[in-house]
Amino acid sequence: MEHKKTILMIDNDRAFTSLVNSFLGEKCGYKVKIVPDGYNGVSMAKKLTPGLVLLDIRMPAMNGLGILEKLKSDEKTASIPVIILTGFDNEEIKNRALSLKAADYLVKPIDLEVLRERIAAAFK
Amino acid sequence: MVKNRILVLDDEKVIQQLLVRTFGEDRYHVETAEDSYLALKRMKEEPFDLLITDLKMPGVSGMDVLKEIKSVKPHTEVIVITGYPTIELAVEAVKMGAFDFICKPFDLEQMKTTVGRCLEKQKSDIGRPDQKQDHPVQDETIAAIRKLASEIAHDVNNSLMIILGNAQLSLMEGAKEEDMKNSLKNIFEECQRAKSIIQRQLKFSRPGKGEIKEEE
Repeated sequence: MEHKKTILMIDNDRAFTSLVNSFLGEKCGYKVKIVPDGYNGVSMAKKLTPGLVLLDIRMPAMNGLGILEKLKSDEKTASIPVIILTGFDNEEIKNRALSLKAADYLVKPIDLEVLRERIAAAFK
Repeated sequence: MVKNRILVLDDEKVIQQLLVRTFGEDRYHVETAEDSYLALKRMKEEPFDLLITDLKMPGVSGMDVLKEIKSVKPHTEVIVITGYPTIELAVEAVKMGAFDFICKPFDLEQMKTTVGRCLEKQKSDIGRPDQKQDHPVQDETIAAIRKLASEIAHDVNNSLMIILGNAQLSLMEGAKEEDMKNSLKNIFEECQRAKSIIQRQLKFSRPGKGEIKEEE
């Protein structure tokens, strides 16, 4: 199905979303939808039911862990794999994210090819 | 009025003079020492309320002076200054009992405020039982330093991601000249952003403790 190849990226860093869009969209053939804040990100996830969510931690209004919790507690979005991609190399945040059932926790800077592999693995 | 006694230990004359000018004319009695032996000797001869010490010095380091003075004169407050700040040093200094850790070049207003706070704390500590086992101020400072380190790493990681990612994109097979130019532009802009992040952090902002801060 079409939405299986769709990645919803919830991140407010425009330079980064533009980079990911160029890479995952143009080089890897995914359809990338970008939403810069948590509230709209959660409603977009329900509407779009993407194949994967790529989620930042630090964002305005609602942080990534709050968004993850909302996604996992709603039956419409609970089964969508969520990869955290953040600048926080922090065990405590990582453990919290994994206990909230994040599929993966990746720390920037990450090699784009590694990102491609981890996304492919999470899709499986 | 009894003047607070401050000893400045730094092998740089310029720093000594700067601190003497800043505090000497005020309500403080300021002396200077350019090496650690002399500083320790002076502090054992006569009481000082506060030692402001550099870390890197020939012979005995500022950290060793801090340890020594805290073991023989535990009520002497110590403010550490250094031109080579690292998180490990800051944490070690605060654990050893330093009141604060200030990076060179420092802002004189910041230094005045810190010295003021430090001596206020000392005054309010007088008469209290020895608090050697209980360091709420130090714990708070260590938490603030750790938080600051995490913030800096987060911002730098974000910038590195943009820089490395764009470099990688433009080196990929089949990249067009236009894409490469665009990546270079992104790299350039990100370097400017990283520069401003570092400048902001050097002003030694101290974010609050605890949970993840929401972005403005």
